[in-house]
Amino acid sequence: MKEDKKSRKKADKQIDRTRARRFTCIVCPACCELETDGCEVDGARCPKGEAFARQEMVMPLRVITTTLRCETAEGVKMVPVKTASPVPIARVFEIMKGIRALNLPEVPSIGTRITVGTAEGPIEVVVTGEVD
Amino acid sequence: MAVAVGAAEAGLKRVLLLERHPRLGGILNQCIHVGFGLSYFKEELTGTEYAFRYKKIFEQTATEVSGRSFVCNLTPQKEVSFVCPEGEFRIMGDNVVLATGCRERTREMLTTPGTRPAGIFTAGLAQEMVNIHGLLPGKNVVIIGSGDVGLIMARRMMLEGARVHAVLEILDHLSGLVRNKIQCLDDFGIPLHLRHEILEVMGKDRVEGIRFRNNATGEVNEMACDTLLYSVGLIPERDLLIGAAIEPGNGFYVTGNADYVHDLVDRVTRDGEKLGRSLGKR
Repeated sequence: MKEDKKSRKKADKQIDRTRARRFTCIVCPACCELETDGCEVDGARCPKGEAFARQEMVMPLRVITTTLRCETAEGVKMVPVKTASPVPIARVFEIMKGIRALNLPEVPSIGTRITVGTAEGPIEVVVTGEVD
Repeated sequence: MAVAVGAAEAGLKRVLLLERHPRLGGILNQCIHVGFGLSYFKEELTGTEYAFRYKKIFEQTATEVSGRSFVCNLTPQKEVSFVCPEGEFRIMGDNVVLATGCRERTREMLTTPGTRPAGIFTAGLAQEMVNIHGLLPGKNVVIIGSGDVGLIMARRMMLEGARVHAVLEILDHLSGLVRNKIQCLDDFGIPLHLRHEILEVMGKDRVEGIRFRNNATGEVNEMACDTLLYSVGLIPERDLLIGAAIEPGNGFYVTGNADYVHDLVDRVTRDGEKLGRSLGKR
């Protein structure tokens, strides 16, 4: 086990340097410096970081967090939501457009899933907070 | 909340929690972004989800909660005066814990020269306007300081349709977490200018632009914008103790961000719980 952890930290993995790219991991505040050729990942202190680097190489994904407008009888409330799964960075503004076009008549409870229509098909957002 | 949870674990029966806001959770309620709870809940949560989950843990304790209660005075004899919708009250405690968090540094504290037009906000205030009230502070934004709230707000303003022209940082390094720079600035192509200092705010009624200097080269430039967000540090909120000339200790305790500025809420929670347990054991 100890050996395994060491090998993740040290630069002894076989990486194809000709196609390698460097990333800084954003999975946790440790911010590991990663280097990957798409298969092997160097510099990650945890498996999540390795997965992040491989994904970042092909198509970077992010969770969008924003608010949904609810025009209730007691006035306008902003409900915090996040996308149910990470989405490609390139689609962020298109998805935001879809979310901003929505207007709910009442405040949904935390955990409610809401389908949002976007130009490239529907995506799901989850309510992340309570509003009073 | 964390102190009450810790105290309940250690068997302390009578705890009163005074909160000036109607809701518990403090600043977490306006932090809709992810990045909370990786250490405490072993899961990446938004600030609002973290507050919700922790409230569930807190509700299992028998703590008495008084919302909309503003503490106006403390005495060395541990008498706490507070006002709430029901009136004014005084109460004595064996121990008094301040978990009052932080206050943002403002433009005035930096003494930035120039006019005093509309359109200057602290990043946290802008966050409350956007996330809670659904108001956009402005359309063309420059952020002063590279603290975490400023970085998070840079992304938030971009998502809501504003343009963030730059983040100016006077130091030669980022103040916030690197992960926040990557996912908030780099993803949206917002430039971070290190060793840049704001010299003057321009504009009569509304901010019209700023004058700034590159401290590395000495070059002075102007930039047009209609909104400035300051993210230039946090100050632990201990005015109640300072006002009453009380030093922490002797039954007075300070915890969380009021003690010192933490960068992760998980550590604030752990600090609070630890203090709570030590109070319960007495």
